[in-house]
Amino acid sequence: MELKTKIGIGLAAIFSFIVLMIGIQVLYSPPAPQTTPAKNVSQLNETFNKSDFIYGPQAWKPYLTKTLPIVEGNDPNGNDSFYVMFVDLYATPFGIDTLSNYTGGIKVDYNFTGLTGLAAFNVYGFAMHSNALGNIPGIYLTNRVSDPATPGDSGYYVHGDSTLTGSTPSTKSLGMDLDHITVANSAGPAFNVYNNSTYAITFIQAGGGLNALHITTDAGSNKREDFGQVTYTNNQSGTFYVSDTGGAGISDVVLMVAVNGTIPNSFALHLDSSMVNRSVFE
Amino acid sequence: MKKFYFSLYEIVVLSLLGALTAVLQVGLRLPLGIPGHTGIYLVVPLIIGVALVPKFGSGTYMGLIFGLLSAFVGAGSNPDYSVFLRYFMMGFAADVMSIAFRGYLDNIFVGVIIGAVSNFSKLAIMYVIDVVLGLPMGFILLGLGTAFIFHVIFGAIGGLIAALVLNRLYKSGVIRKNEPQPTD
Repeated sequence: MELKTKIGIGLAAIFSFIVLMIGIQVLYSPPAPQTTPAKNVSQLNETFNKSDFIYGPQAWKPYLTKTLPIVEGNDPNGNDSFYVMFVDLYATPFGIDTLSNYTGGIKVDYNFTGLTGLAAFNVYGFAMHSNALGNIPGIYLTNRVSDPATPGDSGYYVHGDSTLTGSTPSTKSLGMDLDHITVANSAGPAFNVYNNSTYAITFIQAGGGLNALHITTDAGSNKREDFGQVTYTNNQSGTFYVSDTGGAGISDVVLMVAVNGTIPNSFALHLDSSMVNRSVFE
Repeated sequence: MKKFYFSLYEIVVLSLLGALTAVLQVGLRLPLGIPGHTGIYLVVPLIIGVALVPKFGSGTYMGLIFGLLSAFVGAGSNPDYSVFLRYFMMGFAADVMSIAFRGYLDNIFVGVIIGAVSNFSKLAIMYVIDVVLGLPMGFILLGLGTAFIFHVIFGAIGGLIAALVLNRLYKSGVIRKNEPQPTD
C-alpha cells in the first residue's frame, strides 16, 4: 500500500473517531459541563443557620474511603457526632505552580453565634478537569487530617462558648466517593455541572488528593514547603486562609463546616470569602 | 555468542528515551487545565525512539520504562497502576502504528497520525479502567468528546514536532534511515 493511501486511511480513521466520540457524548451523557461559572459571583458573603446542616451525624469526612476524620486524630469510625453542611466559597487559591500572575489564597472570615460544641472546617477542591476518572468534573482534593503524627495535616477548629440548649437538626446520611454533595449557598454552586446544585466527590485512589489543598493561618502561604497547620481557637469570630501548593489547578473551593453538640435554633454562622494576593504580605 | 532481539546499543537508546519521557512528564508542569496537553512533549521521544530503533517492540519497551518510572516517582495526580498502564499504552500504540509507517516517520502527516493515536491511547486506557472499575456510565461519558479532541490535537502537535526533528536529524546526517546498529 502506498504511503499516501496509508496516511489518508489514518487521518480518516482519526476523524471518524472524533465524530464517534462527540456523538457518544452528545447522545448518552448528561448535559455538557459549563466551562464558566454559572453565576457572576466572586466571593461569598452569607449567613447560614441550623437548617443548613443537612448531613450527619458522623465522625468522618467524605473521601474515597471512611479513613479521614472530621477532627484530626479522631477515629473516623468513632463516636463523634458532627452535623455537616457544605458552603461554596466561590473562590480559587492560586499556587506557585500556576502560570497566573496572581498567587495567593482564599481568605475566609467567620463569625459564630450560638455555637455550643466544636466547629470543624475542612476544605475541598473542585476542578472542571480533575485528572481523575478520565478528566470528569469533580472534587478531588481535600486537606489532610489523618493524625497529628503525619506531616502535612491542616485544619481549623473553633470551641463554642454558648450555653444555649438546642435540638438535633433534621439531616440525612452523607455518602462517600462518587456521591453528590449539596451546597448550602442560597445562590447555589458556582459550577452547576450536574444541574442539581451539587458537586460530585471523585477521589480515585486512597491516599491521593491530600497534599495540595491546605488550611492555614498564614496569609502569605502558598510556598511549596508550607502545608498549613492545625489550629484550635476559642474565638467565635476570626480568619483563616485556604492555600494551594499543588500544580494541577482547581476551579473552586467548597468549605465543609461540621458542628457537634446541641445546635440552638438561634445558631448562625456568617461566612465571608475573599482573595488575598500573596505579594501583599511579603 | 547468543544474539538478543535488541542490541545493547538499542537498549541504551530506548531506555534513555523512555526515561527522558518520564523526566519530561514529571519536570514539565503546565497547569493549562486542558486534558491531554502533556502529549505535546510526551510523544516526541517515543516517536524518535521508534524511528531510531526500527524494530517492533521498541515503543513498547520505552512505554514500559516510561510507565514504571512515572508510577514510581509519582507522576500525575493519582500515582498508581493506572499511571503505568496509561504511559505504557502510549509506547505500545506508537509501536503498533510505526509498523504501518516504517521508514516514513519523518513525514509530518505520519508524525501527526502516530502522535495523535499514541496520546489518545493514554485516554482510552483510562476509560477502559473506569469501565472495569464499574463507575457510573454518566461519569465516564461526561466530557468524552472534549477530552478525546484535546488528546488528538495535542498528540498531533507532538507528533508533528517529532517528525520535524527527525527530518532535520536525517538531513543533517546525524542519523540515517535504516542505519546498521552497532552490535554488542
